[in-house]
Amino acid sequence: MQHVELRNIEKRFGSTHALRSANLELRRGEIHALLGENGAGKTSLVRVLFGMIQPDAGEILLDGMPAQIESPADALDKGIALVHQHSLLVPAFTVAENLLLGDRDAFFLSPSKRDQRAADWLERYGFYLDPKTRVETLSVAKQQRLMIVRALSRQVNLLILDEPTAVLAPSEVEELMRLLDRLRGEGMSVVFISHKMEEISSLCDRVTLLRGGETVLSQPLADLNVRDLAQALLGTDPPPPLQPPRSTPGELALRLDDLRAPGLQLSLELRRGEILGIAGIDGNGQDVLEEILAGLCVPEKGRLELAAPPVGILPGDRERSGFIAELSLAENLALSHAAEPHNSPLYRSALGMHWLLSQKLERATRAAITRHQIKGSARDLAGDLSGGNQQKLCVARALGSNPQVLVAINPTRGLDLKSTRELRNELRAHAEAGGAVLLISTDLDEVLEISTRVEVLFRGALSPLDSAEPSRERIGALMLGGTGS
Amino acid sequence: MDGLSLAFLITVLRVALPLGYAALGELVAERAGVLNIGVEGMMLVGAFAAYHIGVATDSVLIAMVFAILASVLLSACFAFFVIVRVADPIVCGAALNILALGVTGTLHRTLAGRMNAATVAPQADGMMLILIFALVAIGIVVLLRTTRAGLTLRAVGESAQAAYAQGIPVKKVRWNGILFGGAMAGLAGASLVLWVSDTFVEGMTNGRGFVALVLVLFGGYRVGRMTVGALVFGLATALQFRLQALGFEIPYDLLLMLPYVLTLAVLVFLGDRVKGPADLARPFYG
Repeated sequence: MQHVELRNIEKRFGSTHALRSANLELRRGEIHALLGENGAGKTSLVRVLFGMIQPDAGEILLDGMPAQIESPADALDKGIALVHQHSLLVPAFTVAENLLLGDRDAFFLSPSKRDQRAADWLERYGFYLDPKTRVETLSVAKQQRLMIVRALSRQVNLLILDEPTAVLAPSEVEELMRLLDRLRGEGMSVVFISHKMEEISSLCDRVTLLRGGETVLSQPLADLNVRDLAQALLGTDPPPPLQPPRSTPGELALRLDDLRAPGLQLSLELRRGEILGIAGIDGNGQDVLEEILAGLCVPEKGRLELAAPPVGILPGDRERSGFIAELSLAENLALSHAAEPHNSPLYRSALGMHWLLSQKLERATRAAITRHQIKGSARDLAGDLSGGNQQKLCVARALGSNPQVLVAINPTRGLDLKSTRELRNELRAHAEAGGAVLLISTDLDEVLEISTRVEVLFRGALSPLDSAEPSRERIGALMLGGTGS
Repeated sequence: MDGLSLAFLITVLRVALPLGYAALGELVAERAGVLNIGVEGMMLVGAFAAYHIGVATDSVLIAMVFAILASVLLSACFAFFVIVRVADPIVCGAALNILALGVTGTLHRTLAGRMNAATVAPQADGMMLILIFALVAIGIVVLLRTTRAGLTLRAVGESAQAAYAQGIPVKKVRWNGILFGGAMAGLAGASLVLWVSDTFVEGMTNGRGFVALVLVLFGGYRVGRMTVGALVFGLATALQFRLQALGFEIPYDLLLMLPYVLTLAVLVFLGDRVKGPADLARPFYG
């Protein structure tokens, strides 16, 4: 039975044509995958469905009847909920306050009754969480789960999930899939946006594929295999997987000797010419390690030896600490060199002659744009770039000061196939040119694809893998705290 | 209680009450994420309306109603620019203060020229005003803590985007917050004329609107602490009058400083560090 139909939706934002002729047909009680590269219009399309933006042209049909969705409030009334890619919870509020926000049942509700009602909802969906907890202290996965429970508590029958798995660890992904499967059994329709083919083929019933704001494919998944999908997505044959860098590890670039910080106790050696992959589920000390390597946190004990400072960092949360969304590309690039002009060829060329500052800066930025294949101009705001291009900007910033050591934390999180590949190639190129790369990632496939060596981070400690060809199973066991033998 | 200490107590309350009213209104507006530094101007307009309508009708009630209407109207101008036109709230608030000072001054001179210089406004019952304050204060505490409206209001102030995505009409909530702030500032101005002084003087609010802003901030957005702060300010002011009257050899400038210093000190020591609404004074385009 037809639940929702979007017909020939068109939407422009200024000069960009986000949606040209997008169609989506959703049947009741199915999980429908919405696929497309970054910038293909997936997010715009679901925002239309959730009433956050109004289409310039096109039709929306609900249960076969033409309908208008004027605002998020209207969408919720019509039984449609959107779980956003980024947390849209109020950080300072408790779990209960967030859960009941927008609820229109009771006008008076004391805090204790609020907690009680929240606890009931949480329990119904098997999510054991103290309703008094402040949301800002929760992990990303828990916040997402809370948003899903909140959507369900609003009695919706259509749930839209915008890249829900981009921020989750493998075990959390499985948990989410089980929940969605259960909801499908209860008659819920789900729109599921993801870049990960494996998830889509194991979970979804049908798929709609967007390219350049247009629907290019819409059919049952049973008729397709992963390879077909990847091909349709890219418009060409999927390329073969990448290899670790060809260079042989050379001299020592970074050494952490019995480093201790809250939730962390480890030693590691990183050599030039290699990519050291650190696998591990989120929350096992990656944050602290990132902060220490970025100089944001001083370890309690232990030594950090660096053959040649500085360290280039691709932050795990690029929107918070990778760039400033309100500044242009040129300004963002200039900022990263403000503190250390002497190490920076970009800074020297850009700021050497003050009266030509802006032109020089733009020229330097254009060079960086070409080198890193960023889609955008020097004066574009960083916040207006797509996720892949933002990450490339971060790479340009990190490499702008010619660091020997490059630390990348979940560098391809949320990126599409093409950008992911380009980014991994950048890391490989850095190692092959004599640099050293520390790749800290929760994506095991990524770590296995391009790392010279792999170690596993569990509860703040590292377990090195001796064998040259570590098996997935062994690493998976180590990630969960097993012995790996 | 002898006559002297009763008079002292009344002085304390007379200074504290207008501050308390204005701070309550500003608290609600700020909880909705709107920083309105135009409290001073709205109070002034309220005081002006209370005086002239009070003199014309000889009715405290009508004077209060018109005081509220006048500053609600002014706050609606503020809301229009800040919410509809998404203008900078600080600039708009400053403009409000200047506008109010100019308009009330000019009109007052025009009107007062035709009046007997000694004409006084009718006087309100102080107990009544205090009772209204107590009811409003308790009402706000209950509203913020235990109602859907309170949760909605706080959510809009903390994260307008998150609230909007939950179907909350962010702009409407902010409108309501601003208008309520205007109404309370109007009451503050009215009590200034109808209870504290019995006449209107140009610029008579004399910085009280800004003191109210500080009370909200240093009172940690808690009604109780804000009230304590207002009372301390009242106490220090009354003390300062008394000290001046007793003729101590202290420069009077120092004495005039006393209420401000003392209030700040008390509120700073009272409070743990409190974070204000995260989305305060941030524009919402949605």
